[in-house]
Amino acid sequence: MPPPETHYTRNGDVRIAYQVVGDGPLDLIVVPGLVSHLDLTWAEPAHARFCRELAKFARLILFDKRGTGLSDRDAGVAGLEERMDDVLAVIEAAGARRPAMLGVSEGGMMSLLFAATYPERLRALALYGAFVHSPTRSWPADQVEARFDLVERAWGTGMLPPRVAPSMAADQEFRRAWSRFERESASAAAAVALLRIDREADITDVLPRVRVPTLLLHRSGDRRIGVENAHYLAERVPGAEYVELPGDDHLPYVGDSDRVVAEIRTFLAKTG
Amino acid sequence: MDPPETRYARSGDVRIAYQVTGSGPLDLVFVPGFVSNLDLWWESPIWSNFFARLASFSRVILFDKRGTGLSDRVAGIASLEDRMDDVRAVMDAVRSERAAIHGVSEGGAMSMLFAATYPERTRALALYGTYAHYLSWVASGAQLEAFIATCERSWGTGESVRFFMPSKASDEAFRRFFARWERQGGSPSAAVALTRMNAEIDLRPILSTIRVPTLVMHRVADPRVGVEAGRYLGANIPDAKYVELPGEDHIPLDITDRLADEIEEFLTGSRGEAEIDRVLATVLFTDIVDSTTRAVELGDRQWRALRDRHDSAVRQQISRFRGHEIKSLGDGFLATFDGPARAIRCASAIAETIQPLGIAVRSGLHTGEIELHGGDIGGIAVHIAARVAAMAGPNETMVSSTVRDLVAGSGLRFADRGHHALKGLPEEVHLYSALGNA
Repeated sequence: MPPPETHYTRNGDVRIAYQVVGDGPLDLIVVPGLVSHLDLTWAEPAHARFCRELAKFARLILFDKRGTGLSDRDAGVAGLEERMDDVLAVIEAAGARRPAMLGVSEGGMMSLLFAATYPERLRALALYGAFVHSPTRSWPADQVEARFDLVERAWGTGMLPPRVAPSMAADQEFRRAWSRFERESASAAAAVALLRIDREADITDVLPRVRVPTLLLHRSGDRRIGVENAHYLAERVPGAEYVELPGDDHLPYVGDSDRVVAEIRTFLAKTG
Repeated sequence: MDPPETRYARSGDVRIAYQVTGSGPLDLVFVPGFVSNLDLWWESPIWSNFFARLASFSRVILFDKRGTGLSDRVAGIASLEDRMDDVRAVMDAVRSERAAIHGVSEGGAMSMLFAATYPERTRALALYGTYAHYLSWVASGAQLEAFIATCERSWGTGESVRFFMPSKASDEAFRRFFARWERQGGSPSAAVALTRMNAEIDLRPILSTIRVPTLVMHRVADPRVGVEAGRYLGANIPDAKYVELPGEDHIPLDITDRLADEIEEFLTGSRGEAEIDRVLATVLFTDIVDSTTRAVELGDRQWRALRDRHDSAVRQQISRFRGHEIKSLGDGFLATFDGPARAIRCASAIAETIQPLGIAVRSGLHTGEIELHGGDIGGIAVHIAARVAAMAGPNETMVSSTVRDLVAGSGLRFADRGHHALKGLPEEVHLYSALGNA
C-alpha cells in the first residue's frame, strides 16, 4: 500500500513530518515508540493494517519525532518537553480539535506528561505497552556505558524481534524488514541518545496528575516491557482503565492487533 | 457509618434481608460472595465508601443470601434457582423493574443465571472474581475437601482468610474482623453446604445465552478463583467486556475505588470530563535578595524606579519563555510554565538580566498540580515552589527533583543540593541547583 502524503510542520527551526489518514469523527494522534518511520510504517503489512484499522473510526495523525524517521534529523533528538512542543505543532498543523492520543511503548512517557500538562487539549489518552521506567534503568551503574555501546553496535542488525515480536521472530522476511526499519528510522547514535534521555527522565511524580480518561493496554507476556510496567501505571494514574491482553509481542501491530484496535475503539467511543 | 435500615422480602417461605442506599437514576443490586452480613459491611470504612461510591450514581440494593447474614438461616442446600429467585424477590420488594446486577465471586453464578433467565429485568451485569465452573477454577478433589475441612474445623476463627486474602493472613486485626465476618455471615454448616452446592455449579452451557451488557473483572493473580475463570467468562459471554486488574488477593479491599470506577463507567457510559481547573504546571517563584536593605539604602523613590525596571525585565523573560504571570509579589513574581525546562531557562535569564541593576534574585521551581482560581493559583505545588525558592541563594535557581527528572535531554545541568525538610511539608524534598546548559 502506498503511504499517505507526508506533510511537514515547523516547530521553531525544526520540521516535523506527519501524515493524516482516514476521516473518522474523532482525531487520534499516535505518539510512536522509540523510533519510527512514516513511510516504512506502510511498507510493513501488519503495521499498515493496524493503522488502517485505527483509521476506520478515527482521523489518524501519525508523526516521526525529531531526530527520527522523516522529521529533521540534524536537529538531534530532544527531551520530553520539546517533544511535547513538536506534538502541539503537529496537532495544530493537522487541524485537530481535542484529539485523543495513543502513546505506544516509549511514546507513553511523553503522552502521559502531555496529558497532565495539557488536559484541555486531549479528549482521552490510550497507552499501549507503556512504561515510566525505561528497562535501561535496571542496568548496573558500572555497565551502563558498555551496554549503550552494545546497543549502538547492534542497532539495525535485527537483534530485537525476539523481544519485540517473538511471534514473528522466526520469520526471516520480518527480521530483515525490521532491521531496515531500525536503520532507516534513526541512526544508532540517535537511538542511543533517545535511550539515554529515557534513562534519565522520570515522570513518576506526574502520574497522579493525569486527569484525562486513560486506557492502559498491555500484553500479559510482553517480552520487551514487562506487564509490571502497566500495573505500576494502573496503580498511579487516577481512574485509569487497565486491560491486560493475552500475548507476548510488544509491538501492537504484531499478534492479535485487532484486539488492540477494538479496545481503543471501545474506549474512545465512551469518551466525549 | 450507620447501616441503612434493614428490611425483609419474602421469597416463598424464606425471608431475605435487604438494605437500600442512594437514590441514583438506576438500580444496582449487589450480590455478595460466599457469606455476608448486611450490618458488618458498614463497620468497614472501605466497604462503606465503596457502597457510597456506587450510591453516587445508583440506588444500591444490598441483601444477604438465604442461609447467610441477616436473612433466614435456612438449613441445607438451596438450589441456584431458588437463590436466583431471592434476587427477584428483593427487586420486587423495592419495586425495581429493571436493575444492573453486580455479582461478586460466589454471587456471580446466581447473577449470571439471573441475567440469562430474566434479561428483561437485567439492565446490565458487572461481575468480579467469579466463575462458571467451580471445580475447574476454584477447587476440586483434595483442595475442595481441604477447604471444607477448614470450614468444619475452624469456621469462625478467621482461618479461611488465607484462601481469600493471603496478603492479610498474618494481620491479626484483620483476621479478627474476618473471624466475625465468618461467624456473622453464616454458621459452619451453612458454609459447608454453600461450598458443596457451589462445587456442583456449571454455568458454562448457559453463558452464550446471556444477552445483557456484561462487564467481567478479574485480578490477574487471584489466589482463590484463577484468572482463567474470568478470561473464560470474558471470552464466552457474548460481547462481554473483560478487564483484568492487578493484585494477588481475591477480596478486592485494596481496589474498591477501581471497581467502583469500572462499574460506574460501564453502567453510565461515561467517566467524568477532565477537570481542567486542575492542571500540571511548573511553578516559578522569584524574589529580590535583601530587598529591605536595598530599599532603605536607595530611598523610596529610587527603589520604586529600580523595582519598575526589575518588574519589566522579569515580565519580558516570562513571556519570552512562554510563561504565565500569575501575580507580582512586590519583590518578586509568581509564574507558571507548561514546560519545566523553559521555566528553568527563564529563571536563569531573569537572574542574568537583573544583575546589571545591582540587585540579585533567588528563584525556586517545582512541578506539580495547581488549582486555578480565576486568575490566581493554589495547591500544594505552589507552596513547595515557594519553599524551594526560599532555599536559593542570590542568582541561584533552585529546583525540586521532580523538575530535574522531567528535563532529561534538555542539556540542562544541575548540582545536587541534598534533601531538605521544607516548612509545612511532610516529606523531605531533594533539591538541585540549576547550572545552565551543558
